[in-house]
Amino acid sequence: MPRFYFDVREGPLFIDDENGMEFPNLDKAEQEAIQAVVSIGKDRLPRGDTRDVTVEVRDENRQRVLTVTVVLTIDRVHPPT
Amino acid sequence: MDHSLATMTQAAVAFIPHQAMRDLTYRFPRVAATLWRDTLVDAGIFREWMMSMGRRSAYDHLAHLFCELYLKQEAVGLAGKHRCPLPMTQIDLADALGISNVHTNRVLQEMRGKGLVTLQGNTLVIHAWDELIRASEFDETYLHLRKRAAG
Repeated sequence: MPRFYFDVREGPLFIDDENGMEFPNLDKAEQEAIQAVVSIGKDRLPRGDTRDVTVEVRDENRQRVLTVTVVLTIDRVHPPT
Repeated sequence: MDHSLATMTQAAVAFIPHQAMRDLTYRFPRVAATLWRDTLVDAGIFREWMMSMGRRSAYDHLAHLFCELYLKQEAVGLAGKHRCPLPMTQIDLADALGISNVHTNRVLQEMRGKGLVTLQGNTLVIHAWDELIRASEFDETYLHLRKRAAG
C-alpha cells in the first residue's frame, strides 16, 4: 500500500509528519485528512489565535498531492442606528 | 454481556463462575467491599471518559489519559520515576481517543515540544508531571488510590 505523509499547518505553526501512514489509495488518504483537519480545527479555532487549519498530504516521493483546509470566517454586522 | 473485552498484550485469562464469586463474597465481606470499590473506581473512570469525550480537547484528553495510566500502574508497582509501560501504537491511541492518527501525532508533537512527555518505544516518559496534571486538570481522587478515614 502506498504511504502518505500528513503535515499540519495552523497559521504560522507547521507540524511535520515524519512517519506517514499507509492507505490503499488517495481517496482513503483524503478521508483521513478530512477527519484530521475537522477535529484539529474543532480544538484550535475556538482559541482565537488561528483562523485556518490545513492538512497537506504528500506521497512517497514527498510530492504534495492534496491539501484540505478549514477556515473560520467571522462577519460581525453592526446594526443600523 | 453487552460488551466484549480484549487485551493489548499477551495475558493469562481465567473465568470464574458466578456461583464461586457469590460464595467468595458471602464468606469474605472484605473481598466483597474491595470488588464494590473496584466498581466505584470503574464508574469514576467512565465519568472522566465522558468528560473527556464531551468537553476536553484532544490534547487535554490525552494528557488526562497519560496521568491515569501512569498512576494506575504505579499503584501496583509496574511504574515509577514517571515512566511506565505503554504497549500501544499511535494508531491504538488515536482509536481509543476517537480522533484521527494525524491529530494524535499533532498532539503528541505539541506535548514533546513543550517538554511534557515523550513516547520511547513502548514506554511513556513523563518529563513534567506537575505541568501534565495542570494541563489536563487531573484530580486523582476518582481512582481511590489513597487510604482515607471513613467519613
